[in-house]
Amino acid sequence: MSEFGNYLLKRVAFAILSIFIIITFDFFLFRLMPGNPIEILYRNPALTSAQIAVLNRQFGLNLPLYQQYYLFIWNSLLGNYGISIYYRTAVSQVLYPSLENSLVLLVPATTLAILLGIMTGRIAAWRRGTVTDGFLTGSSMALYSIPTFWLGEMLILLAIASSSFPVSGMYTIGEGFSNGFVQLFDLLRHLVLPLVTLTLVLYGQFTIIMRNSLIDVLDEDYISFARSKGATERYIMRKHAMPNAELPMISLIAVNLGLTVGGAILTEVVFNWPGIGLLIYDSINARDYPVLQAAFLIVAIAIVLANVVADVLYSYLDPRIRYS
Amino acid sequence: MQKQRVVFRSILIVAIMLLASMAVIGQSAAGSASQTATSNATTGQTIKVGWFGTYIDTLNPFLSYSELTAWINMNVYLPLVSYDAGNKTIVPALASSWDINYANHTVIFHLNPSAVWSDGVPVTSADVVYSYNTAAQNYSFVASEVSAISSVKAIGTETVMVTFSGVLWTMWAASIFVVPAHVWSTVNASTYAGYNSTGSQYFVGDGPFVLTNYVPNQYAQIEKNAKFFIRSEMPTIGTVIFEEFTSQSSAVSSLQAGSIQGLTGILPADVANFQGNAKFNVTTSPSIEYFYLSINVAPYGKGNPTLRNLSVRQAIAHALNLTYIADTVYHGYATTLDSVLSPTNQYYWSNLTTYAYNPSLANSLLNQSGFTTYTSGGIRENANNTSQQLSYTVLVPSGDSLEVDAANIMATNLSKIGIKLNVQAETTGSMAATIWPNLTQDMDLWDWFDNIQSAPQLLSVFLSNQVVTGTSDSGYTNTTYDNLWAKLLNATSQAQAMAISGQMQEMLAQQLPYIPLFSPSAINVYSSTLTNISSSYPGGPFGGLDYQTFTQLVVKSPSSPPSNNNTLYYILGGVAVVIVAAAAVAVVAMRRRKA
Repeated sequence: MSEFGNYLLKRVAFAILSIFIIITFDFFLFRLMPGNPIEILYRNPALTSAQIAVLNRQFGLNLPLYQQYYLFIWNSLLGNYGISIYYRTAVSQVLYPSLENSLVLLVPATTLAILLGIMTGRIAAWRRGTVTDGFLTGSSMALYSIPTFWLGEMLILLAIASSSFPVSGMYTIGEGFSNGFVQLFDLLRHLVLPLVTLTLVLYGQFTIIMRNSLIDVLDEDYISFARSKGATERYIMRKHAMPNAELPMISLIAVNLGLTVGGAILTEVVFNWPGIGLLIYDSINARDYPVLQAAFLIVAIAIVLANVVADVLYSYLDPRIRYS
Repeated sequence: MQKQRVVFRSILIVAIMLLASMAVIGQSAAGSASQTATSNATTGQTIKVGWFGTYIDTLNPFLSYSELTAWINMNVYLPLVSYDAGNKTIVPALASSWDINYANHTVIFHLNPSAVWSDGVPVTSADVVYSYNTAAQNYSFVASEVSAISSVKAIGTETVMVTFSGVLWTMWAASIFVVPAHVWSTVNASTYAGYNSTGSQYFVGDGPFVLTNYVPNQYAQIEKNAKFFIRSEMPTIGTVIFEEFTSQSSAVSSLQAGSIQGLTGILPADVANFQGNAKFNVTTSPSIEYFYLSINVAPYGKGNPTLRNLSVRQAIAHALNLTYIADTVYHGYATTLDSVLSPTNQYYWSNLTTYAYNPSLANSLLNQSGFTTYTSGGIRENANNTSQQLSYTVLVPSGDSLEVDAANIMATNLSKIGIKLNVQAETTGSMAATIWPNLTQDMDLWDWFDNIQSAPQLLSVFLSNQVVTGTSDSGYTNTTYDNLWAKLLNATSQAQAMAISGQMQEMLAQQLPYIPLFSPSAINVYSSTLTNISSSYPGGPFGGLDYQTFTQLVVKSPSSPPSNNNTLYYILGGVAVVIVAAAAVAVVAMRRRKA
């Protein structure tokens, strides 16, 4: 097997191990949380001890923990996430639509944040030490540190005052759309506020990383050499600096794209966006173990896979770290 | 170097393609959700109501403990009888008449001969027998409500005889929904989610509405049932959509923006945003919810043992300025309580022992009990046993900021009589784990929803057997009280039942396992386009208990979306102008540089 093949194999094996460790951790973490789904039902004066016993049996909560864990792992391998304790329906029926909804919001937001961050980071580095740099870096830091819910609430207030955009949900519920374009337009209208919120909150980190990375590169000897050859600043930036500065960005982009699967809890709660973040939030409150386990399994797989892709790309692009 | 640029650009291109594909996925998601609604659409106007709180868990009335599910089921299934708007008188529902024989402990219900399911099948006594048998199963959440029933027999296709004990027959007759046996007998009722999303018949009911769409975690939609047999109660509106919200502020924002037309659970501080606004009506109604301070009095409990001293509990009761809390935290939208039942419950007993705000009396009670010395921190301790300090922790649900505020004021109240109260806000799941089964807490500030207004069901919380199953958070045990409950269930007249329940409430008022605090008003806000709405029902028109809200309400004018959708076009146009201008500037700059 080639050197690269060996490297890839190791990375995949490590990824599988990571996923296994993460889901094991999640399984026990949820059960260490105070309270279980049946205990929460105790606050029903109509509930008898016989019913509590039936519920515990139905959801396997009467089994020893190691047996519950074994069943969870075995069923996960078979792609069977079980029945939601709260919704009394297959976990996949609740989870997949939420995941899809989250991607509709997260992927555009992350993509826009990346594009915007690269652009402003580049400008800030290029204009290092100027008012432009100060403004872009300062605003990035400010946006990065603004609480998501606060920014979201401010946009909601503006939207209500101007009667411009819908402030909650993903589409107009119960609306009979006359054609696909109207439907798409309705979705886009609902998407505007959460998209703007999320993009603004995310974009700051990309600006800062891009700027710092580019500034490091601009101090390198080969940049000075290019200058001494008489190359223009624009040419140096485009041909020499940017390609090298983009390396750290690849890791960041990969990790962020992996995180999109996890949804954005705060944004989804503020805008009542029916995504996986909202589902996780509600499932934690209800201690709905099967939904939580499945959601975290998917999130773990997405993040680990994104990291594998980033590692492979990184080693492909930078031979200095290859296969070490 | 070139390779890196290619890879990086490839990532960007893939990301942009993903962006575009997400829009398409979103469009299809929205389409699939709305398609069902469109295909089942009936004529008539649509209204949307928001719901903040416990989501729909399942639409199976025998398995659900969600109030929203109960409210939806009230509109799609009928019980045998119902209460009128005043919540006092029994009126016909599925049964058009009934004969009660208290001596024989039987009720014979005569079903409405016109009763028919939404799929055209007649409603028969077999449906009633099936539903009551299902309700009595050990997996059923409503089993305790039918525990007083010994048999249910069909004595004809439209007549059912129920044999029961006691006089509380309305408790089950008004709360157990009758479901279609011809549909339910084909499924496993212990796991059935209450709807069939794959078959051609989505849902079968006999109420004024029928469920036509349900998207878990998002919304449920009901539409007028054209086959509803009580023609005088046929709704004027066509569709009702119940939209679920996790965040209270998000629900309020949607109401302000006009996305929903009705909402309950408005915080007192938010009322000012709606009052005086011609677009909205604000109503306050009596609530079925009440707050209490539970004190761990269990003999084996692991809380502070000083709380088992009745004088200490009485002192605490006298030290709490509940009127002040109701006026400040709830802005006056709350009333103080004396009993452990909500004031709207028919069995609420008003002539009980009360504990007026009186810190001097509280101090003297503690002094008489021997708590006369103080720690360096100003906490009272037993002069004969200094390890006994009046320092407690109260658990409060972190999700309810008003309860946390109330608990903090209580801590200030108690500090004035030398009692330290540490307020610990936790999720309800964490609270449950601390309290049950070992009762390790000192106190908890929590609420009850007195859902069955025609029966003193919440008195069962203080039964000795509830300590084992976990409903009791005070650990109160008293055999006299248990015996009274047994007598109550077998009372032979309404007056006798009232008297027994009053006696039980007085016992609790004197022994103070709970200090009843206050009942907040149910504040409802709805669009002024909705008329013929009553706020007399407990919880208000959108509080989840009034089964007549949607059969009575009338929409004044066709609800239409705000006519300012052009804003988006203006913004998009503006963005396009900026992009074109930027491109023009860039082109000019490049030409100049070339020159």
